[in-house]
Amino acid sequence: MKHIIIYIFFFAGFLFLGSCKKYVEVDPPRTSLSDELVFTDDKTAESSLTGLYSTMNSYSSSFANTQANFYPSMSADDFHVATANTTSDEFKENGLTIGNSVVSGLWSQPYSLIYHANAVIEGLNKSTTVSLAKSTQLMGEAKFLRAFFYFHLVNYFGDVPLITNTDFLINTSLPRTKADLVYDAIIQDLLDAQAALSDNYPQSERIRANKGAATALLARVYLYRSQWDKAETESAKVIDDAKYVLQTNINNVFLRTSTEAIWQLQAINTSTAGPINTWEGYSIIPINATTAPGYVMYPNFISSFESLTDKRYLNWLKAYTPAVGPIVFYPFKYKVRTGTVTEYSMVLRKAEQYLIRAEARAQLNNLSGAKSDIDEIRIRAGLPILGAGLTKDQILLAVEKERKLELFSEWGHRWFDLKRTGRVVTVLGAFKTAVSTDDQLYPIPLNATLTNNNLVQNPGYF
Amino acid sequence: MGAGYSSDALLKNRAAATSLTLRNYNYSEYKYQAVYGRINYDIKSKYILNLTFRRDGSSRFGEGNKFGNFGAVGGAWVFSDEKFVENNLSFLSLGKLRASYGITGNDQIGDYQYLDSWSSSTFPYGGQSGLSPARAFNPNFSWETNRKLDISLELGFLKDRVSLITSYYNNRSDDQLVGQTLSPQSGFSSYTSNFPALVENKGLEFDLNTQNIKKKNFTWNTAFNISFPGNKLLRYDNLASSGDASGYEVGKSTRIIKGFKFTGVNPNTGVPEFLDVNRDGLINSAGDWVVLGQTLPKFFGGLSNEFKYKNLSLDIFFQFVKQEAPTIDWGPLAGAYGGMSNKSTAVLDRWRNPGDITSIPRATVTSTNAANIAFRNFYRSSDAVWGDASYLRLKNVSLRYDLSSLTKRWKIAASSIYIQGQNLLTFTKYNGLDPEINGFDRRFVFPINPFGSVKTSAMPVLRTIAVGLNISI
Repeated sequence: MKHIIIYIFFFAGFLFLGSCKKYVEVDPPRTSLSDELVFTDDKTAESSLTGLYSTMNSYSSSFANTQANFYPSMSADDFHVATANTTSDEFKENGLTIGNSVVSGLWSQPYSLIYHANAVIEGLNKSTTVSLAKSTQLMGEAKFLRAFFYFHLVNYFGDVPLITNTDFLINTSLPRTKADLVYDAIIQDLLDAQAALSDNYPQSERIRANKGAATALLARVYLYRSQWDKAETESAKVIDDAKYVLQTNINNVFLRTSTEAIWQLQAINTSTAGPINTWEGYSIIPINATTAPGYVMYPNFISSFESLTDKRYLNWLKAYTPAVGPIVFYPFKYKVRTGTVTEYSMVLRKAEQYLIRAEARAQLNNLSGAKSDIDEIRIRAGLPILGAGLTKDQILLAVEKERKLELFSEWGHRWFDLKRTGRVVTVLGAFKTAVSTDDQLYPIPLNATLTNNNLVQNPGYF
Repeated sequence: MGAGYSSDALLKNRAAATSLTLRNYNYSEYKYQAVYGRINYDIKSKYILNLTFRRDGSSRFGEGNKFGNFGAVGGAWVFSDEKFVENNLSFLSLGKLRASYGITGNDQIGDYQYLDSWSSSTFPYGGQSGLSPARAFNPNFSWETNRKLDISLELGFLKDRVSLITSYYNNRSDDQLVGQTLSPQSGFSSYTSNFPALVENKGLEFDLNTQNIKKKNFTWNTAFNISFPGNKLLRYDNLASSGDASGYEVGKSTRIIKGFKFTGVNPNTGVPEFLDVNRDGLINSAGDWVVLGQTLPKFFGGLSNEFKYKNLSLDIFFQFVKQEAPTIDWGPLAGAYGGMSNKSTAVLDRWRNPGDITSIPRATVTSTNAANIAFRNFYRSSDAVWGDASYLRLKNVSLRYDLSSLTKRWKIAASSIYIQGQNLLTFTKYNGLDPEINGFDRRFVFPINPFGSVKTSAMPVLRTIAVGLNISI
């Protein structure tokens, strides 16, 4: 046995390990705050909400800037990507596939923002130390934003899971909720927001929601739900509000100082790509005059102007003459690619409220009232007022056309309008080869259906 | 970050900057504690026994989950030293059998994952700093444990001129620390958790080294190795109701890829057709996906030959892999045949006239053509674009002449001239850019998202030829 060697190493520390626990305790991270700490005082509670606005507009290609503003416009007849591009051509050709990366973003980004809004709402509900006034205001903003996100989801996809808390283990497998119920939740959130928010903006600029923003979105939602009297009432509240004045100079509509603005998103990430103003302007406006635009209007958009003296034609579009081929136009509502920040991204503005009330009044057979609202927009555009004696159907078509020319390239208005009036196939089918009723709903993206077996795909998608 | 300094000399003084921008602030704290015990028992270097035990604590886990106990037992037997082997099997110069079994822990996740926290936004909004939810928070996760079994046999023959190492390993884990998949509607794509599934990784490896010729002026050595990796999902609690239901199948590899089953191009119309697996009359991802294959290679290895004649040496190294991979038309960025984009020469074999029998669909410029629709919705995520990506590659050839004996007089320790070539020859039937990188962005190939994008700007494996002179003083 003399060759047997035994090594035994034992650290006595073994026996004392129980008392060494504190060696693996760490202080809370310095770069983040725990849930309880966030909702202890007014200042950090407010930060939890400004963080939500910040996330919306921090980077390009986000839901709340280029994705929501550009892609539904391509599905409709506003504008499209100029050169062949597999992802955006699927929107242009109304031939979306479940793997489309933008569709995936239009689904998952609003839900990510909804989680944030739900977390704010839950935190405020639990908090006993945030002042009542601040809590009420922040709750109103959070509910307004949640309604805003659901409004877009339900208009892209139809039935969508209605998620109103942060319990992600339950929420991850929820099935789709009927669109009617999602709309009920949107309306309830907006009514709550309207009651909670003050007429004054929380800050000096119109970059956060006030009562007017909640009212304006509520008017739109009632319009989409064909609740004409309520749509008229709510839009009238905004129209009669002296804070909101149509800009007589059409070139001032999208400025950060615009008096027409009801809600704008502030330019915050101005350094990443030079001093950008809006991601929309940065993306659309070519880098110099000789560069071909990346986005061009559909030719029949241009032909729908009844007069080439329309100020929107002259000022909100810009022509580009290529070396070969016809002149093309690109959206020029935002006029700054980079430079001193003079423009913010417009989300809600007064012109839409006139057109909401015009449509609601026409539906309620108040044709002269409808006509006067349309005329407000036409006069500002430098057009003659509508002729007398138009029928209800003619007035409704006039509203549709003014909405098209006034609201193009903004938040998918045109696409949503064609959908809610059931005119997708009639209007787009005239110049797109195969638009079907199935194309009115975007597909539930593949990464959502794969991770939740309870999601049933929309018809017409595979 | 400071800017606008009046002089470079002041760069370290932030007070001298005319403008200061806070770019980012990162801070995290991580503490780790371990106690360790080992018993090593060795008899005549013939019988060896190792026992280890350790207790580890990590700050990356929440209250009550910080500590884990791990250990291993291993043994080796040098049987070539046994009398009966020495007497009967004299050609055996080394015979050693090793085996070990152990449990190891892993805390390789980010810090503070167990905390419900808000992190500051990158950009203030309205002049106010913002906060955003940092993660889907789960306080209840703990150490990942891996149970590892290793067995190996080392054999040396003919005075170690031939040596062969055979190893087998089997690693199992039922609590892997991975991002557990969430559906995006939850607000996040994953949360940190112990994976509720038993995953087995096993493999067989052979390593053969031979000295074929060993003369004074000439030597020839060969090294050959081959590995057969395997991976299997043995158990997954409540798989059907989890976010992984579409991605995994119990009994199959965790690296399977799913898609549609291509049944051929209709000879009358040129439209690609696919198998209706659930026979509901529709083709869709919910019911008709089949397992196309897996991204784990069946086997791989290398063969190296080294020749040396006096001062001249030649190394030749071949690499081989038997595997499957997505091919050139895979993924949502692949355009249909007929579009305004480059396609592979397969386009020449496309369907053109009724009666043509081919596996390449017809070309069409209209997105509403049935062939175009089928291409975009099914073809580019089907086994039509999934295939063999095995290859044999002459990875490295190097010819070197040692000049040391000539340059010794100048007090140069060693010098040589060489010519070296990499990736000189490839034998493959792969229909894609390169079988080694698959001409495809691997980030997108994971089970839950079998749609990936075609690598449009991929750097292929480069063929490199280098000529050089090496001098060491």
